[in-house]
Amino acid sequence: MMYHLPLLTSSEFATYLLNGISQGMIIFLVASGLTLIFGLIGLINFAHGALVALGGYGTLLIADATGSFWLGLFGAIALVALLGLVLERSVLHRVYERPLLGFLGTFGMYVVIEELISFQFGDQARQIASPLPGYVSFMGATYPKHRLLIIAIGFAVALGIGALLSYTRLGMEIHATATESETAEILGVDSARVYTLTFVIGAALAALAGGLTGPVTSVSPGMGMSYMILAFLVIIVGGMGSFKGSFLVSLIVGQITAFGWLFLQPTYVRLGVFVAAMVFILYKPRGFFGKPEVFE
Amino acid sequence: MSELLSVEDLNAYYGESQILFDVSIDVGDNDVVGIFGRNGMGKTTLLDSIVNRIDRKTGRVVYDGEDISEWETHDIIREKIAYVPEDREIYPALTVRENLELAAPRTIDRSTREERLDYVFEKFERLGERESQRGGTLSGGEQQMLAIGRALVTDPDLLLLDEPTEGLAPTIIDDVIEILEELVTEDRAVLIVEQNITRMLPLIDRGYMIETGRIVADGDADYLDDEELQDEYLTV
Repeated sequence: MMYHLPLLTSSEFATYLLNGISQGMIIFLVASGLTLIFGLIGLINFAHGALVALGGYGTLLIADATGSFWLGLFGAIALVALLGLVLERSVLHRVYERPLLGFLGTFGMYVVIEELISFQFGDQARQIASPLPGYVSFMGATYPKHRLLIIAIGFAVALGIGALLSYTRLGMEIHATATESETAEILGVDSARVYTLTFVIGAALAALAGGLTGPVTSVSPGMGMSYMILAFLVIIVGGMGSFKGSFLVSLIVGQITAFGWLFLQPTYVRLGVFVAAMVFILYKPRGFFGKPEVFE
Repeated sequence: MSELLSVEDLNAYYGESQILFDVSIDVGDNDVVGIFGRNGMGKTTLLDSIVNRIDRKTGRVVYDGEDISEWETHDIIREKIAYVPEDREIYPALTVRENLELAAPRTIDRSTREERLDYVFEKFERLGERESQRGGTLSGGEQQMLAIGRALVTDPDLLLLDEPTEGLAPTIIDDVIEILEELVTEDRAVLIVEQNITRMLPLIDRGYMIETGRIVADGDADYLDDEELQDEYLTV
């Protein structure tokens, strides 16, 4: 269904622009953990969606119990990171050499965790109270403070992970292990430790995404999977394993989604994003910044 | 002379294929030992077995009095054993400096690490000139220097070198031999695997001949400098 092409005022434009950025940041926060894990380990981690949901529910429960959103968020991140550590050390490290088993195994984990959440808390969506309620004025528009918080944290995470990968010893070890783990070993790098740390960081990012977006979109057992579909699109178009590709494409998808709603119903906008991504991948199979070995 | 490294009755396998058969070798402190043999005789597998880079092995590898047979590769390397593999295994997307920094042990402080990098850049001036260049853009000879430099930043007590002159142009081989001549006079043990015995004999104290995974001869450089022996085990 087509809408009339509207003329935007500056305040409307600012609102759509900020909506696009915040939507892009939510997608990025989910995609960043997936990208790290895929880029290093080559594992397509379906369980990531369940970790997002656990982050949301963990934040909700701890915030309810303590009255502090931030305690809830950081507590959930710590608990989900710990769960990530247990999953990686107990099961996942055994399937790194077997991608199909890894794919099926993590999908199984997703289903089990989602069903457990559903069994325990029901299927109804629940709202988390924002630590920053209210609105701010921006270019004549009023905009929710929490969405600006998501934008700020999204940029901070992008800069932080970018700096970790580019300027730290761990970043070099992640690069070395992802490129050739046997060579990393003869340089004294404990590749198993690097895999574990990366998986734990990815799990923590999933929990951050779940907890942070709770006040905007509410939390529900299936919340992770709805983000995962867009997150997979982002990491494919950005280039499998490319962190900067995920960031760039998340922002593009966010803007297309936000401004697309001016012209089309949300369902058609989403459909258009997937069709555009499919056409793009046909012409550029590696995505924007993908490594050649992923597809060749 | 006390033994720094003892390989005892080593049998090594890739999948179902047995590559080494009851191999035993010794390397003493500050000893320079060569392993010679034709292609495919098990020379690289012997080095891979020492640092546990193979599928399966039996027998013992004892280093500095400790049985390291079952240790993880990175734990063996952290015991000051450095390995320069045959195909160099440089990280092409990392710069020369980053390749070296990655190899420097986590446990040393920043000033010691910088001292060791300076030592490598002094030894290999061409690497110093290309410090910010990506490893993948270096020539074959420069990559070999980087691979050796990467080993030296660990300040190893035992240096394992796999075919250091393999695939290099003759003039570059001269440069590498010159570097090896310096390395073997320093205070460390060296185990060199090579086909080019003529260039290696002046460098080594002792050596072993390997044929289809078995040690078939061993002795000092004078003993190995024998045309008949070399014809039998090295001539293609």
